[in-house]
Amino acid sequence: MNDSGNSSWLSNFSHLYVERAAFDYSFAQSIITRFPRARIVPIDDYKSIFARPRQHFQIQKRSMKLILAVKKDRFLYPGSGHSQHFNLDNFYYNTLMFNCVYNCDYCYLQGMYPSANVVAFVNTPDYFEATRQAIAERSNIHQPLYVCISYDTDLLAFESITPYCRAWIEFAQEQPDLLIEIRTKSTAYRAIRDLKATDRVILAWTLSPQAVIDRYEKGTPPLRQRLQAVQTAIEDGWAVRLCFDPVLAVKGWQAAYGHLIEETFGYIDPAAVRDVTVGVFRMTKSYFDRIKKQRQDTDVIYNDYELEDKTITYSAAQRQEITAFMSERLRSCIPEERIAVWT
Amino acid sequence: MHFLITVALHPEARPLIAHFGLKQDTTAHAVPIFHRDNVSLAVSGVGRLKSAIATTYLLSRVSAPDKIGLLNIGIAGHTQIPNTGPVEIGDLFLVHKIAEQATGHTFYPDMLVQVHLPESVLTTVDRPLDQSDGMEVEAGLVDMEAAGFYQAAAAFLAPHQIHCIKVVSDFLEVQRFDKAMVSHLIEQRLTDIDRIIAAQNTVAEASSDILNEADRSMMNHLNRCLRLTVSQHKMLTDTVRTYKLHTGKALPDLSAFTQTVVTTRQEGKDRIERLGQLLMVK
Repeated sequence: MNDSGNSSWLSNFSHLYVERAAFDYSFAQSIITRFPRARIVPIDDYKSIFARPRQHFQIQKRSMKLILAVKKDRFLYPGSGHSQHFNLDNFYYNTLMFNCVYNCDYCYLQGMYPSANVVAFVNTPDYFEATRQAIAERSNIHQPLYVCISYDTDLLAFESITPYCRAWIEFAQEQPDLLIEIRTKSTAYRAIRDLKATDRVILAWTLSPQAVIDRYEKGTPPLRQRLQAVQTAIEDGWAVRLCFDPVLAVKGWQAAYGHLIEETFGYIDPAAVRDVTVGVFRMTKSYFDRIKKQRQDTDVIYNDYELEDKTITYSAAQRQEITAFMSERLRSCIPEERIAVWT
Repeated sequence: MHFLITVALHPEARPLIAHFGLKQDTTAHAVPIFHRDNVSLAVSGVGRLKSAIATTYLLSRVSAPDKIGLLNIGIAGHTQIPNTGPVEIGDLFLVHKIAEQATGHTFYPDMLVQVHLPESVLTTVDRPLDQSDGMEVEAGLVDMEAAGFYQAAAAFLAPHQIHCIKVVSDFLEVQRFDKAMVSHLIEQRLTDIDRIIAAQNTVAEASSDILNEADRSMMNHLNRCLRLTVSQHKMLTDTVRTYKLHTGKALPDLSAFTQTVVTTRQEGKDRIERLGQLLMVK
């Protein structure tokens, strides 16, 4: 039998699986209209497709599907210990989407979610209501409610399809006690450029050496284009955060990351940057183990890590070496109080 | 890649048996199995429970579950009123959603590769459905096996390995099927079935492991000669992958480690330690 595999993959989002309840939301309808050739499959509950057992994340990444759903509860989560929070007490994140259009080798989403398909929750009014309530009930009333809205995804990269960033920036403009962070590797800043800059929104770009981008950050824009997007956002008056995170101990990492910092602040005025974060590669052990079972093609996963408090990361000595190196280089550009390091 | 096929009826099986040159497996007693090279086919009988049993039986007879593609092939009714729409007797559909009428549960095979064939929802019912009974199912195909097949398959395999292919045989007018007609419907669609099998190969080949066949063969040799425990085998496999991923080189010659079988635990430990040193990434 001739069974040679030479068929082509379906394009991403060839199928839209839509919860019946989601059809009622204008946000869902606007997404559906952006995929006129997609097959629309009505479903009862997003979990019946997203949470199927034994899905293969990397195979599904070759042809991701979009699932539109209505989130029923848990519109805010307390911030993670794996994240920097700049001493902001009222630290939360939310999940407007599950998964990301990019496919970085080191990404914890591969181990966190059972599927590579993208879930977009369309009931934004419910998220806003929960956020308003959390602002009113926040523990430290002297600080804003700090919500990271693009943690388990890259919202800006998907903004042309699901305009969450626009909706949340407009929401933040009405909420004096709210501070949101939108973290991205995308250069799609143009999608929100017409909005008036506000200090209630931090646009945070993750930066990596070009060699790391080429090898480990599949599908993401090149460093130079990210820096151009950063520069444009700064010129437009936005508060910008730069995230050197994760730092990978690749061969010659000192030269690679030293050059990255030089290139970044050769292009961007450090005084115009709100703050900077640094963190080495780290991942919850259960996520790491799950990824290792599924993929055997990247040295990021097959590496000499240590287990520390349920987290897979470099040895304490190596972490210390990396963070000391990065901190020292960054301090020559930016005041120490504006550098947050995960150790 | 091993392709497993379940069908409900012998008339559905006949053209597939001829097409793939299958012979009856006389060691299979619970369910009729036909087999040749990398294709096996089971004839389940009618109904979702029988389909689940046959699927499980078929799967239990093969190893390496990640190298399997599993297909449920057969005839199905369609909810369209006859002569009122685009669907015709003999049309083939790839199923993207299986609804189990009895439980309300739904199942979704992964649709990943372009096969240029129409898709449909399929509802599995427990009794033959007639247009005159009223339409209580989602518009699309209706059969009596797919939900049982899928649930059994999904207990072993990933959703990208499982597919359901149906050829329209009727528009839900309860009747006795002509066996020759059933065989003819499947026979007409063998080219499409081949295309779906090729697509499954594309998906199977996408799973990339840095270890190639020669590496795996060496690992098997090492496993036997060093009498590795499960844990030691896993650790050594990790070490080998780490070596290849970080150095970008092929494995060094390890044949010295497979000349003789270790006789003591200490001898095994010593050889594993030497192997670890040889494969250490600097």
